[in-house]
Amino acid sequence: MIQIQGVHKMFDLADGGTYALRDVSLTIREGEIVSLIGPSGCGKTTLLYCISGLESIVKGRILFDGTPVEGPRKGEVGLVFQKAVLLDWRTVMDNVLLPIEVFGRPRAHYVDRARELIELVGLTGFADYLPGKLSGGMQQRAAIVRALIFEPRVLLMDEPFGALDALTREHMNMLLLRVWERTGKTIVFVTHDLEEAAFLSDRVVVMTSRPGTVREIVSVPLPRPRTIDMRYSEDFVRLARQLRGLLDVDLPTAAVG
Amino acid sequence: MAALVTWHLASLTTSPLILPGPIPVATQLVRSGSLIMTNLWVTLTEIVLGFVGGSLIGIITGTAIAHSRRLDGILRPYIATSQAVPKAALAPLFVLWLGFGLGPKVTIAALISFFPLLENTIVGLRRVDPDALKLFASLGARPWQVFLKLRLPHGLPYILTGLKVGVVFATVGAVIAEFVTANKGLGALIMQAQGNFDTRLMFAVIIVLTVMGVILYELLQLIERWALRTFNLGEGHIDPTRTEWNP
Repeated sequence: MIQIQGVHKMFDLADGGTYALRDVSLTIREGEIVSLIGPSGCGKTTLLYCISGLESIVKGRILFDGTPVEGPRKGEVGLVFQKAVLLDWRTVMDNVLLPIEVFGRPRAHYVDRARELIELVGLTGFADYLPGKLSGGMQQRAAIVRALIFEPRVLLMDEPFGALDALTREHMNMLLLRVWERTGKTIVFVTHDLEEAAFLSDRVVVMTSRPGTVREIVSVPLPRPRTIDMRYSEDFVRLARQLRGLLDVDLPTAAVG
Repeated sequence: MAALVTWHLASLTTSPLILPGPIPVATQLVRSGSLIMTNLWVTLTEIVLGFVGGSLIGIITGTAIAHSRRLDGILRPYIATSQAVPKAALAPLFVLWLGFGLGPKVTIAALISFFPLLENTIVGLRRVDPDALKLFASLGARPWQVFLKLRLPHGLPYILTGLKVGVVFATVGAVIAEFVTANKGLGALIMQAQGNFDTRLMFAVIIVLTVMGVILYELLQLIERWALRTFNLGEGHIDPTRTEWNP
């Protein structure tokens, strides 16, 4: 369980002390998929990095099962970025095992697990390929495996499919759900795509623009497992419209900025 | 071939003192073979010592600067200033300090090949993907791990490119230093030949110098290709905005 309690975060000094995040509180349950959506600049990515421990907070607390987050800790969070951020000179397998090397654990113990995960994301046969030979979607799958290899307690994903075309993104959504069903990981997912958020999540956190606060937390009424057809169901459309309405409150100011 | 023919034709219309033809030059090359070889070894020694020394210091200093903003702030102005000085103009000074032996030539060669290595090492080690740094940070990686697993492989192509530039610069440096001070070496041989109005010998030595430069460059090119292939690395680049590499 991740508890975010009254978290404040300031912008860097240049901005003259305005809040990036103000009084954000949120509890993420074990094994849940929670999406953060909001207008650009609302601090959703900042919140994600606060959870990872890479960004410090000025006020409030973030607790992992009751233990406060005070900087990055080995093996607790798996990060996935918008870009795959694979090391070009390493094969898929070597990229996937990078965290293991950094932790100083024996690689050999993780090779089988790596193969399983590579198979799970549909990269079977590509373990010895260099990233340059793979498509954007395939690179991102490798990045997901790299984040899962060390069994982190939570997967933090920062617009991981934002750079992919619509169809590939839909495939990746299904793939992520399959991975989630198999591994039961807690996932915090930042996106600007409200339909993606609605489709993947148990709950969607809608944030306001600067300073970032929680406007509303919306529970997704769709059953699991999710199917592509659900994207066209009445419940889904209603949910999407509701989320849209919550985001549009910010439109007048957002349009100026 | 066309160039040789043009050269030959041009030499027929000019005094052999100004432009000797390819055939007399080739004859000279053979006749003065042992003289040229003796001096070639001297120059080659200066180049290799200067190049190895200059690049090593360049790589080490560059690595230190790439890792420390403070060191960068302190050293950068001095390095920039020192680069503005034409190194060839320092040759007489180094003779005064280091005498007439190998010392001043190696120093000049090292000084000139130092800078491309310094600059490319800094750029190569520093210009890594910020997200990759976040990834390593999130894994709790130690600085030496970030260096070995991220910065060094990323920077290696840049360093290899720097080495190719550096070896050519070292050649220029050694020859210029010999112009000023030496009684041995190919640069000195050119000056002697000039003094004796032996234009054929000058041409012969220039050809030898050129061939040597090309061989050294190709040698490093081979090493570069091998390294890039072995470590699955892409091409390195020289930062095109940098112009202060003038020898």
